Amino acid sequence: MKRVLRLSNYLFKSLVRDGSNLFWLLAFPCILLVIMMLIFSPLYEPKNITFNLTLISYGGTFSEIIERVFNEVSSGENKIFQLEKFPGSGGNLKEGLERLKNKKTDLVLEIPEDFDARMLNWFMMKNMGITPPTPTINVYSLKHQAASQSAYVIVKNIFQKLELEFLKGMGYQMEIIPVKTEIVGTEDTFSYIDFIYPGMVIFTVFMTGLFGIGVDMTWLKEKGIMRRINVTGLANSEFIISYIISRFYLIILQIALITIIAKFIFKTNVNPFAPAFILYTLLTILCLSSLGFFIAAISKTTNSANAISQVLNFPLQFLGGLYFPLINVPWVIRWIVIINPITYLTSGIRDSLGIMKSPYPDIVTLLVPVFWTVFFLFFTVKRFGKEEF
Amino acid sequence: MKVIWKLFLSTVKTFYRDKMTFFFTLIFPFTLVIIFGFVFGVGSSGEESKLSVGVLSSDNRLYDVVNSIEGVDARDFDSTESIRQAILQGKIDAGVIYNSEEMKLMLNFTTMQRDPLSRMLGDTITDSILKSDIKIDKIIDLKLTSIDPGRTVTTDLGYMIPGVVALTIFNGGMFSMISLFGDYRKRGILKRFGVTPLRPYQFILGMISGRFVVTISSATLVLMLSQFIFKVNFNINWFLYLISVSTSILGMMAFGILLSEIFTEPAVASEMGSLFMTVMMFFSGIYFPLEFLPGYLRKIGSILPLAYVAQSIRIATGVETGSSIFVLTVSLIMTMVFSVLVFVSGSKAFRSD
Repeated sequence: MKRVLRLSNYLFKSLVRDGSNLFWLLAFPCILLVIMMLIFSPLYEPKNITFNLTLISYGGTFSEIIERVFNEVSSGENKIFQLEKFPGSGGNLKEGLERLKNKKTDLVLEIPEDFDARMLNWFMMKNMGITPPTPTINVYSLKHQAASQSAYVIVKNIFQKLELEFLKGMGYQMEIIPVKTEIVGTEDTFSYIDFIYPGMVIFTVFMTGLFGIGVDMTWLKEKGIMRRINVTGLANSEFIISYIISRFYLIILQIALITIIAKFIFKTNVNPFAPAFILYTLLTILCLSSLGFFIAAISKTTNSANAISQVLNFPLQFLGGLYFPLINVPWVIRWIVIINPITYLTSGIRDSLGIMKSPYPDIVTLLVPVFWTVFFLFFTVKRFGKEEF
Repeated sequence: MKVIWKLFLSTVKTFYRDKMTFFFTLIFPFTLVIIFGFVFGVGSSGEESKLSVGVLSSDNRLYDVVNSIEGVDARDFDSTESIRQAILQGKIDAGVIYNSEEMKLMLNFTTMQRDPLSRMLGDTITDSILKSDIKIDKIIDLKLTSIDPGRTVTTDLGYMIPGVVALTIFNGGMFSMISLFGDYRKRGILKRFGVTPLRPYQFILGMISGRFVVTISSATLVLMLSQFIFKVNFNINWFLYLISVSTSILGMMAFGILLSEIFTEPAVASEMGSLFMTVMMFFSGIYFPLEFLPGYLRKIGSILPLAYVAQSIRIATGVETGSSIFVLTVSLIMTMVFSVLVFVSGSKAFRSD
């Protein structure tokens, strides 16, 4: 036992002394967590966003009311729009559209020349009980630009509120209906860090499985190091146990680093000592380490192990729900989501922590990773049993 | 000339034999197009997808009100739980429950991801209910015209693909120079060539031209394959395309040379290259919108070279409007930086060995 522990300490030290391992297995997951937080958290909690809006107006009573509303939402610290106003003319519209195409503005709003007359007409006819034609305001947005599309959604919302104000002015009694929003399957205190943190824990174990075990073990095989160890009197089983323990040390270090960043920099509410979290983390370690041994078993050279790991890396990572949920993706890629053990590990870990409800039953989130673990280990033992080290 | 030609041919062969370079230059960018394309709902059909909303109310009007909203498709449900389950399983994007006093909007997590402002749907529905109470549909009609930013009409996926071509160029150009100026130097290959009649400029020219042709073919292959598989439209100005792609390759090669100069250990240079690739992939606006990011991050995105390469290729493929002067200026800067760095580093590499 003593020599197993001594060997595992040596294997761990030699692993972390290698700059490449240090970068990919320890530093990179932390960097990726920071990048993911910066990119995705504003998508779920949009704040302090200002869109550029160009308003072209020919003037008039109603046009001025609209202008006043847009002036209001375009001032102050939390302004929604950076507003630029131009008097109505064909030339100004052309210039506005040119600015839109060049992405200097996100949306162009043109209040036409006859807008006031049409509005007056609408109110008069409505008072007479006739259904009048609705006055039109032209809105120009730019395709493929999220800012332009979002600016349009906000403008549409502002006009809906404005219409209600006009109707109230006409004497209609209207009580605003309160709206409660629920993001299904999540806690009320949901934040993106709570969602991403367990995902990043799985990611670090996944990286260790693919590269820290799969590629590394193949290298040991290829270079004949295992054969050399064999002649020292150390049994193969002792070496494998030492190897597993050394990777376990690494995974603990990786999880500790990710946890420190998530807890102290991004303030996650997740309790890393919750029994469910620990249980699923252990299942993850078992399943994804087995995947690493499986890769080592089927690869003859380090190069092919590296290629297999790279090919598996991105599809399994992105289609395992680590960074974003994948509940309604098309069938073209859904089959990868379904057979991917990471899908069930991420769903299970998040569900057990109350972060997000799993679309799969609890038993499935446990059994699928267990099935893959058994499959990987069975195949690995069979393959390694035939090989002469 | 014959020597350069031989080196050129061997470089091309090496590329197709090296699984990793082949993977990162061709397969990787394409895999990401497929994954992000489908996950973030970037359609290849060009038709806008409708938001599927489950409706539960004692008030029969709600179904019609929700259905009348632009871009929304209503579906009837008989219980809150069935709506919740349908959302969880991804069968619908959102759900509304109305009891004449308040409205509950239930959103799917992915819906928020695709449209961060989907939370406003609740307000839209309640405003429509209030207006339907007094039998008024709308007072003001907002007539939306969506303008194509380029010379050609293309889908969101078509707009994304030139960015993927830029990523192919970045990977191909940068990693090839890290291997030439870092790995070859470290393994003493340059030293061995030093004792042959081969002149340093012949070696560098042969290697660079080989990598150059391989990268330009890969980039064009990604463009053509995407056009074929996803049926997207481009209006390629071949003159601008070849200028922008060629000079971008040189620019990205310059970036690789710079990394090899700063990080003399090739493995470190390669890791730094991968790190830059990750940063640029996320922050140059190719796959993810940058509009919702804080101002300082958008500024970082705007100084990344990949953002300029992607814009040049978008202009050249006709999916974005821009002046030829922009493309030519970017091209000139890329070529100048490359020329200076390849001259300084090339002579240094051979002199030191």
